[in-house]
Amino acid sequence: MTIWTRRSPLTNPPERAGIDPVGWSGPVPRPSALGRLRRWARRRAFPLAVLLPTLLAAVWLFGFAAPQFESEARFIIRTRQAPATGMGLEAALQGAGFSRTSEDALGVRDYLESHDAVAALRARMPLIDIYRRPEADVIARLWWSDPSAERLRDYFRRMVTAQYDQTSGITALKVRSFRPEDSQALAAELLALSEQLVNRLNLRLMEDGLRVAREEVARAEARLAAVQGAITGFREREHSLDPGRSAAVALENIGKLEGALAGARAELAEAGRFSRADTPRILQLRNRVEGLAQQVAEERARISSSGAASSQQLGEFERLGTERELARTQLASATASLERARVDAQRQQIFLLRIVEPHRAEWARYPKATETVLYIFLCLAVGYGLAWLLIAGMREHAA
Amino acid sequence: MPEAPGAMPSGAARRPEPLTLRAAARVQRQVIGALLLRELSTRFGRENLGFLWLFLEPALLGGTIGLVHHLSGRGLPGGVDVLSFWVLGYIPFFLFRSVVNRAPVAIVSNQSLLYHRRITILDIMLARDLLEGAAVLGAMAVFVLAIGLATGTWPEQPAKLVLGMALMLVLAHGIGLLISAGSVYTEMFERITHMVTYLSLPILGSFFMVFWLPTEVQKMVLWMPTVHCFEIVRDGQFGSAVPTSYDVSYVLTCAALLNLFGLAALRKARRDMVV
Repeated sequence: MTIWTRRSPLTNPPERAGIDPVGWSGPVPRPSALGRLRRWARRRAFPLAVLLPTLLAAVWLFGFAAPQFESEARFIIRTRQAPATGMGLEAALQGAGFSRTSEDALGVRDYLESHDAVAALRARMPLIDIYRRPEADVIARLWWSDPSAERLRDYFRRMVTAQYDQTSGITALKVRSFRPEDSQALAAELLALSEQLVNRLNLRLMEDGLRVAREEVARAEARLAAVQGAITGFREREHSLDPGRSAAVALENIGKLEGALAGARAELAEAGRFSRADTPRILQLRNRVEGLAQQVAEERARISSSGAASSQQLGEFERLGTERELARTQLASATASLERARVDAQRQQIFLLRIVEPHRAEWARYPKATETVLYIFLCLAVGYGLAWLLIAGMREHAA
Repeated sequence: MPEAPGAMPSGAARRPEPLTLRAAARVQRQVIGALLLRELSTRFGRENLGFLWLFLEPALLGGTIGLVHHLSGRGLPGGVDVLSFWVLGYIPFFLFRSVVNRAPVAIVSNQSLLYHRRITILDIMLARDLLEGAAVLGAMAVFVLAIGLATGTWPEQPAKLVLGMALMLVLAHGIGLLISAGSVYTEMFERITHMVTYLSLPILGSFFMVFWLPTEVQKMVLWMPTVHCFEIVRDGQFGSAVPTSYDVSYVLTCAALLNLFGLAALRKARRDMVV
């Protein structure tokens, strides 16, 4: 029986190793420069992949990077409405945080990071010069001397942040640039722009709320004026200030005349009983009775002759009067609702209250060199470790 | 390498050439592919519905949970669609749970495979987790399609759904590596993993949205990398209809660290493993 064993190259006697084709690969040509570089790099993978980039970053950040100064401002957006208080957990969940979130504040935050703000800022300040100051380093500064709006906004968003805190409702505006006074000026300008935005929004809200009420008032006023005009026209046409009043006056006249006539008749009858018919007193009384009777007849004739016209006039005049009353009521209610709308709009007005004015930085907070270098080192080390482990796992399949 | 000419003394003495890295990677791919197929057959067999269970499991669970909450009729803050919220909260959680829960038995149940030279523990873990990820992603696609057809709301950014699920898978894979490495040393992991995954359900982030919470709590909750994954998925589905907050680089960092430690632990565990 033969036992076959696998011959291991190590068990070869040393003098045979030189001849054995298994252990000796023969003359190997010197690898090319690229191959040597690859072998060299493979042997120094960790220093090359982790330490060298970290060192480069450290040299740049500690040695060459220009300091960046940060200016911070804080503001709060408030309305006049009292905030809802006493929210339980249930209410908080139901309200979904939307009730806490003031959409006005979010609007202002979005505006601060928008191309609109960048454009407005560019019109007021030399924004591009500020970010291309001679002391700025080549990596952190704005790379283009005439950037497109999008590039400028992307850069702007890196340098300017606005954060809204839901709990306190405070928005924190942070501006970075290469000079402390630049940062402060930029932050101040941005605050001013936000205030303008808030005012614009207010104006718009107010206009919208009041427009309808104002139109209502104008319509009521026009109606009242039209009625007043119609009444004036009527008076001029009919030569009568108030047909109702004149009819009443005429009737009153007749009543008075008839009273006097009755009195005169009674007096005449009384006198006729004691005196002769031709005494001067009787004659005088009779004349008076006749005069009065004639006057009564005349008055009656006058009223009855203009009777039809007068009742028509009366009807029209009363219609105009009612119309005028209606128009007056309408005007009064429209004015009241305009007043109410004005109060409402004032209550809905939003305000930007500055809490922290932008300050002038005395110490350059950015770039955070130590933190950044540590972070780069950790990231690269983790990545290197992962890659090493994965590749080692792969190599196991090659055995 | 040029072969030295001359007669070989015997074939037995010849050591195989070490493969290049690329060839090794190809071998690993093939191994993982084969393991995937094997995993499919061993887990589901060829009986009754077979592979269909792969999709049905997450789909049924997610669908039932979504339906229960839908029928309960309580609306969600922010006007989120109830059914899609619960389904999209549950399915990524299902992925996380099944990857993590299967980790303690991953080595034990596949120990016999390790007699093969070219199969490593990592291959087994990768094959299992990839299968899980593909299954759950399939279930999610079915749900997204069904929701889209039923309610007419399609995902705003489908890529973000996939991104969220992929990040969740990588996270769970890292945790799974750590757990399976630990299970080599002690059985404790097998006992408590299920409990821990269930107990951590409220803080993983599947059933709440970050913007429902006050800012202070939000900051705390966003330390959990899984919360970010759920938020990414929701951002993909609902878009700007609801505010979401997440940080992809943070999740990536967490996943990288977990995987680094997991791989290292697995390397250590392999040496101490008694096969």
